[in-house]
Amino acid sequence: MTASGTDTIFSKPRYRTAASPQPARRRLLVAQDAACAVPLLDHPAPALLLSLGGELAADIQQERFPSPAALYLRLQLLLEQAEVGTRLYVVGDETFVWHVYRLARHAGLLGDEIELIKSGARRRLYCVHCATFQDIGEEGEANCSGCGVRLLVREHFSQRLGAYMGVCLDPSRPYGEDRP
Amino acid sequence: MPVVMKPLETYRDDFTFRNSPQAIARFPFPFPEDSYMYSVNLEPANGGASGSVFEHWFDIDEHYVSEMAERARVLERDPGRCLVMPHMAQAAWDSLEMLMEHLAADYPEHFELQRDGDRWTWINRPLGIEQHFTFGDPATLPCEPLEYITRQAQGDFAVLDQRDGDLFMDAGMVTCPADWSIKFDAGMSFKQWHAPVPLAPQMGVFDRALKYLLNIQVGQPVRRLNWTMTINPRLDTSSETFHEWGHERGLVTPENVARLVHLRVELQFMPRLPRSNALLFGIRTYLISLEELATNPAWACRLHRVLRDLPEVIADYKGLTLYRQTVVDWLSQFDPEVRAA
Amino acid sequence: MSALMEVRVCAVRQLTPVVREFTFEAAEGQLPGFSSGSHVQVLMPLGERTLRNAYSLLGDPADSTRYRIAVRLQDASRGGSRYLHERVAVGDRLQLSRPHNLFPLHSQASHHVLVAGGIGITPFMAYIAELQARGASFELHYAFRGRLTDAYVDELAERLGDRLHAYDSSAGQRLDLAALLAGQPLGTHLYACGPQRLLDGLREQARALGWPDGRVHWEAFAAPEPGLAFRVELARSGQRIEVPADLSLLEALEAAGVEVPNLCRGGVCGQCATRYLAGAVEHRDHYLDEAQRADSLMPCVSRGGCASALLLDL
Repeated sequence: MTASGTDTIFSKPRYRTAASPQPARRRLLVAQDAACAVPLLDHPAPALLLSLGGELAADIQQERFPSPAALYLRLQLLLEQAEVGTRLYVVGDETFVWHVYRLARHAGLLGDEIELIKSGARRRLYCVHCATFQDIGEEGEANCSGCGVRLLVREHFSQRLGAYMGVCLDPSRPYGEDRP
Repeated sequence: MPVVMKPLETYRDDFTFRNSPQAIARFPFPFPEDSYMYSVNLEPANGGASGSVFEHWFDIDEHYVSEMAERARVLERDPGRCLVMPHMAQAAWDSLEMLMEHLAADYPEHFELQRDGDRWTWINRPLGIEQHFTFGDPATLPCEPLEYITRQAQGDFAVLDQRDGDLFMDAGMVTCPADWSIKFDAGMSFKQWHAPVPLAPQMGVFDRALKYLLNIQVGQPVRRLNWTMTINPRLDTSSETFHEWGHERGLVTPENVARLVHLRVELQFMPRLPRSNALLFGIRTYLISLEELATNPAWACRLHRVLRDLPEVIADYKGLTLYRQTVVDWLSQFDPEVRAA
Repeated sequence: MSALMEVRVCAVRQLTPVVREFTFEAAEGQLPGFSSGSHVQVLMPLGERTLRNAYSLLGDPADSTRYRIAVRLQDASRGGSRYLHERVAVGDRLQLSRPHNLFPLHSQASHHVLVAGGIGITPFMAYIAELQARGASFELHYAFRGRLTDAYVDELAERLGDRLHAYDSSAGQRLDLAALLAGQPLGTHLYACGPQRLLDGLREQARALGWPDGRVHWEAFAAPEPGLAFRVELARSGQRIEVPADLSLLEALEAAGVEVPNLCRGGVCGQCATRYLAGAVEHRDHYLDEAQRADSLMPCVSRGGCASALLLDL
């Protein structure tokens, strides 16, 4: 899932727009909104779709969960029983897909066995000064909800934290006001 | 020649850190030419001249006690600066063994290691430590083994797991980084954690460097020098504390430039850890004020030309933009070509 | 290139009619530590030339006071395995390179499947010591010919119990790759060492079953095979070198005093890749792609044609 290319920095994630043709014995789909899983249906035989809502008119087994926590727990149980040959496809905003990604890596899937499709603007920001996480949208600046420092949202991304790095925008005015 | 350690100096607040003439003489001036561009400047680390910073694998100098006190202060406030993922436990012991063996062999007046099978005794005289422990048993040390030994060794240390044809920063002790964060970069691959560096990725520098590092063999370490500049002799220029020190870049004036601005040189040293196959990535930082540096006019002249002609994107990345002109102006007095013009 | 170490042969054991085990200790000082999967190059003085073969270290990595290797006598030997089998005895001194690991355990695996064919068991002897010390989950699949290439099989049966799956071809037992790959939990990594057809079969089966290459690690038997004699010319120095049929290009260069960085000497690590400017090349490596082969070759295994001299950028 890492970027390569010269226009954007290497650590910034890149996302797929459709499933890859990699062979798999079992395909699991996870979607924030089931309707967004359409690009993943072209490929043969997804076994199961887990979602938080939405409608998908397709002839596959679907399970819907009232909360992300319930979905994560179900996925975790599925992966504990899963065998090599399983591929995971995740559709949602960056906060969601990277949470699922980290959960799946922890369960033993390789990065190469997980395909992420971005849908939605929400993403996670990590304040490098106080280690607080918060959700933001596409904006390039934010106030840290933990320490109050005005943060620049960098492109530098940590897959382990599932978050972009936020660093003090202007150290002469860390909290946005004039330095006394 | 035995290392004589100076009394406690500070790297913050009143900044009492100074280099003795001996420390200036052995400063690793990093520029072989009058200009600078990124390159794969890796070379075999086969030792160096007696008394030089290259002589031993792990250099100990007059600032040892002060630097270890500074590390303890950083860790007290932010224990997360030392991080060891569970699969790096063996590499942590490997690092401890390598550091203890080399420090004891190279600085017998300061360090001593006695090994009786797994029962080891470590003596660190400058810090007044005598530790009996069982090698491989973390419960017999006061803290995790990588943290234990790197609280007693100058410079930052990253420990890189080698897998999938890549290196991953899965452990480290990083309390004096040049504007990066171990807490954020932990777990990243070699090219991921270098992603913010401009120009070099497009030049293929990291592809070639990675290939070279993956093939480092036991007992055949490599090294390189890297550099940036720092305002005040501040060791902890981490991203974590940027909001506290970043404004100092705006404080440089023609009057204070020589004392305030420091050349910061990293001696990076990369040995293979034999038992774990991990790679130790030592980053030993040396600071020198422009005033101290100019006691060697050839260095001052060369630094003048390097900074004057440095590509803007590199100057920006290194955070020099605000004060570069003031430094160049001050250094120009040491450049005969400028004086002649 | 790398600093060599002098060792003394302190034990020799004939394990099977074709496999002989050698134990080395440092002639002076200490041997460096090593990680499981590491190999050393053994230097063998054969008349006026020196052959360097790579062998896996098979001892317990927790004990680096001694190194052990096991050598299979090769029928098509260029002399290396025959030299070790017939000429080397306890008390002899040999030179080794420092250990290097091109086949390490994967730190992220929670279950390790080891697949050995014949003498390919050697790296796994060190793996098993390491995995047992860690209390890690693993299984060994070992295919051999009984009473010929079944080195260590009794010892392994005793140590591993039902974690050992042995396949004796002389008793008609066959390794079923599809069965071995089926039903493995998500944290599994597979490691294979053996003849090329075993490795090829495994990779093909694994891919078909949805195993990405990142889960399958392999080490080929790394030894150059003889070919026809040919000539090379070095573009920079103007030196001309004859490469005899039973010497690799790398060995011929070394014999002529030309140092080329190298590690595996078997066409897999890429370290010795060298540019050539003219001449026909018989590429035998597993590292360079087609585009790279247009101007590079790996002298540890690849050879020139006999029609015209090969011009190297050295």
